[in-house]
Amino acid sequence: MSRHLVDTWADFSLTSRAVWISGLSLVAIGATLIGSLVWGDYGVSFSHALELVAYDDGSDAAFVIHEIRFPRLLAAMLVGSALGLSGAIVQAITRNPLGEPGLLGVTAGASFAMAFSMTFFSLPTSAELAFGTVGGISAAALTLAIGMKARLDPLYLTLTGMSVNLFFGAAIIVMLVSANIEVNGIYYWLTGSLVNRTWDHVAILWPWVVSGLILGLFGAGRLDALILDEDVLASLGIRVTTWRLLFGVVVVMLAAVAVAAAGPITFIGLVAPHIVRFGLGTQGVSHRILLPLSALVGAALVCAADLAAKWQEVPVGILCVLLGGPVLVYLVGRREVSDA
Amino acid sequence: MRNVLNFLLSFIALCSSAVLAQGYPLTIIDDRDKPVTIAQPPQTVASVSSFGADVMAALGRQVAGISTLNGQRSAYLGDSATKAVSLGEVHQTNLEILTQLAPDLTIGLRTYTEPFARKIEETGTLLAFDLTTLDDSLNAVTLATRALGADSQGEAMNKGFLDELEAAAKQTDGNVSAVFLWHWGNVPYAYYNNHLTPQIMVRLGATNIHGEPPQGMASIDSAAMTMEALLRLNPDVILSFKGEAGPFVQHPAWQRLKAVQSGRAWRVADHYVMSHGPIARRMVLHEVAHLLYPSVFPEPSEIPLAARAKPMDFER
Amino acid sequence: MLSVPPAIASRSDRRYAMGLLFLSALLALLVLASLFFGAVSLPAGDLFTGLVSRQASSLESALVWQLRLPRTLLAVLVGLQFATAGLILQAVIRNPLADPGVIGVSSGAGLAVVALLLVSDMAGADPLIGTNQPSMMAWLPVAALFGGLAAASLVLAMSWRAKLCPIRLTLNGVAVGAVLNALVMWTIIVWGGARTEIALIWLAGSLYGRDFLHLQVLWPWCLVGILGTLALLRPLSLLRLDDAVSASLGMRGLFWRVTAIIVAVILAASAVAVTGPIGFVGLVTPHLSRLLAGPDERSLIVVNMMVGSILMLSADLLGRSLISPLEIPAGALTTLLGIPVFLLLLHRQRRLGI
Repeated sequence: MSRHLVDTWADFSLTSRAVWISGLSLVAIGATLIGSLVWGDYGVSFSHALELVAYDDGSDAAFVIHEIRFPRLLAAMLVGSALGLSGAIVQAITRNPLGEPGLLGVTAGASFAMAFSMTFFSLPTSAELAFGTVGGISAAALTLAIGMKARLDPLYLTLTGMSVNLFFGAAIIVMLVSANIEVNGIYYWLTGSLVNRTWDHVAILWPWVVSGLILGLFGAGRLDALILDEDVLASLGIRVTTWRLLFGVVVVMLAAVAVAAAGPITFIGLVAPHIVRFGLGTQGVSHRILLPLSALVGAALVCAADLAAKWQEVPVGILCVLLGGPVLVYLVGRREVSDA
Repeated sequence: MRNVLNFLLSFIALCSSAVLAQGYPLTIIDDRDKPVTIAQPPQTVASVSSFGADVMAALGRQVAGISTLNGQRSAYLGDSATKAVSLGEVHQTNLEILTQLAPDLTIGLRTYTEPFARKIEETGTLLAFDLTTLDDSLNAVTLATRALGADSQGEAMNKGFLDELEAAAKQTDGNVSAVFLWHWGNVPYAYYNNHLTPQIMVRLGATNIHGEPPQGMASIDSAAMTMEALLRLNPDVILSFKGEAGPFVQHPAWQRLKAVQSGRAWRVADHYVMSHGPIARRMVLHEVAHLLYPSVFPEPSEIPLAARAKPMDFER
Repeated sequence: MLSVPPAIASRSDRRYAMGLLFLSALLALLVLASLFFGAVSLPAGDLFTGLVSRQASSLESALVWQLRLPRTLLAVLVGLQFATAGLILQAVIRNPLADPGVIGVSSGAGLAVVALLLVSDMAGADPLIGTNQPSMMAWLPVAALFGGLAAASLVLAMSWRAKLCPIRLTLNGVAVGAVLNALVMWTIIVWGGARTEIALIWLAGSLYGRDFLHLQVLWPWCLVGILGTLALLRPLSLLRLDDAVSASLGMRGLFWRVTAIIVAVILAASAVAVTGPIGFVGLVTPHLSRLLAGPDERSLIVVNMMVGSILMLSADLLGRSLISPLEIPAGALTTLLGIPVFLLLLHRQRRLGI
């Protein structure tokens, strides 16, 4: 039986598999959509909730659905797709199948900036998010600037990124200890969470995600090429460093805005592209297919994790690590087998 | 066996202090369950958290050293701790300064002092208290005043507070709901009924919308609360420690809260969190009574300006 | 083996001797500074008298003997242990970024400590045990030690099938570390309450409030670790090489790799148990030391130990004097200080000698 299924799956063409993956992701997103609109601390019955989605009668219940649950869900989707997208791109430009946007220093830089602004200023939401984004971009710029020296050599870049990450991680602790604000709160934010996100967050997120997706799709051919060997690329006359830098900027923008909005959510950028590759049954997927599917799978993962988080109030970021860690172990194990 | 021993020890301690009146040496069992012997009437007293300074001030004395919270001394203590040296943050007492101070007695919060009790005891005697509930407060005041040789004053403080609470409770009609929050970033945290401040609110007839702590988690005094839950429970009065502007205020749901619309959201000072000292708990009682029932209770005047409740500003 | 021309050998010997002299002087200076500076400033002469006479009643003696001396000695030992563990791991895993965190020691210890604090807190609320249970704080180092050992064994076991292949080991370590850290954060958030600060301070890595009791726990492990390192002298330089090469040299690769990792775990886990996870000393010290020591493995190990102690001592000294009466955890400072150094090295060397 299962043998038969495997054969059937193998017979599928790449296109129909891609359709299947996007279909499944959309179903997952749809299910979480209904779930997260209906489910929450403000008890609204299922049918009443559906009525309220259709029209806003000005009641508190309608307010909860339109102003609290809807933006939270959209923020989750946008954060997920931003992370999935940037993960797929970063794996191509660092030629590291285990690459992650956090490796460019973005996550820790944005976290530090957010924690800094929360500790020392009281900014409006949009200014705070902009501050966090700028923090992430600066940290990544630092990483890239140091990495430029070695023409953005992947190994060198990874080393630099990890150090920049650790540096800002320590800076957060120093700041926390010397300013000593309530640690519970910052811990909550540092785990990554979508609690109490508003339309302000959505407004900041969507332009970046959309333009990131469009840019990625336009550059998909170049991304396919960047995976090749350095010498081959040089002989093809492709300016490797320029393209790496360009895509690096896109990754940084996407990841920084996602972290600013939701806190550091890790592993989604790593896992989403691999789920797509696994589903498609091949490693060498064209980025024209890989990018949109990674965005979709990332969105589905974060939405599902956020729904689960609502149920037990486990921060989303923690669920993503608990999910992503084993996947990483599995991937590593499989790679070892395929290498042998 | 341990409990029997403790009981015997406290019994002996009780008897000895009763028989010898204020005779030293006396033995006190603090919340670490540890018999602490105090050889002489303490002259130099250090306070880790505001509680010790509060007890001393209530007895008309000054502490020699006091810890800070977020880099600041508790405003409600006013001038009563001006001469004290700073011992650093409450969770990490500076041991060198404490050694230099060489206090006869250090009164501290158990959670912060117990892990380093051995080092603190090298500088002098340590009394460590758990301070969450009303019972904790009553017990700690009794023991601390006994250690300071002022048993009768301590008993009077406790009795006076309970009487005042009882008297105030009789004047209220209930029928008001409230919540006591602290927050960080855009996540509010609400205190449960096991903390003294909500206990005072409840005793005054108000309903604490956050209720009792979950089963088996009795040691937790507060937990995160979503905006949805806050909107559903929609309290009449909101008290918030650290209620400055920022993302907290930016959330659109705030504008819909009853307490915000009617101007009954207040930011309160740190003695609402550490409300267990004899001075702090009376201030909290008076102010909370006024904030819950402004027509029944007048605005208290004894609270230093910096420590008074201020309306939360929700201008966007 | 290759023979080194005598001229070069003597030049590098001289350089090594000078370096050693410089490091010893610096270490001695820092030890003295650590004894004489602090939140309370007193005349050096009085402190010296206090150090020599050791009268329990005098303030100087109390400061030196109860607070500063144990911290100083612990900083020396802990720095040495982290640095050595880092050196061994970088050789064995053939990864210039390896540090004790890579094999899960830090996160395992962190989870064990938080779990212990949680259990003791839960027990406090349990009517059967009584509200005033004895403190479990004394057991923190023990819990951390076993947590670190357990997590390291888990990482090793997961990588066992791949014959402890370096890449596999690193990635498994990263995954296990991330999951354990997430569990730590989760516990802290759900549990909340006042104990969080204590856990957080521990997780930041600090020598606050440590005394001779910790030293008594630490020194046997330190001794075992150092002896183990000495036994590893020759195999270590070969482990850097490819498996095929070391096999051709008659190395029992797997045996030595396991032994080396066990020694590193002993050193790191016992140090983490006392101070909490101190970041970056294990990572950055070997790179710094290589600049000073030259190619010889034996001198590298000695120099590496001294540099580790120096880093740790200066971090602790700065941490407790910069914003006194507050304290910055040494672990945060080592990271803040260590990273720019590391980036600078990276910048200069371009290709790190692995």
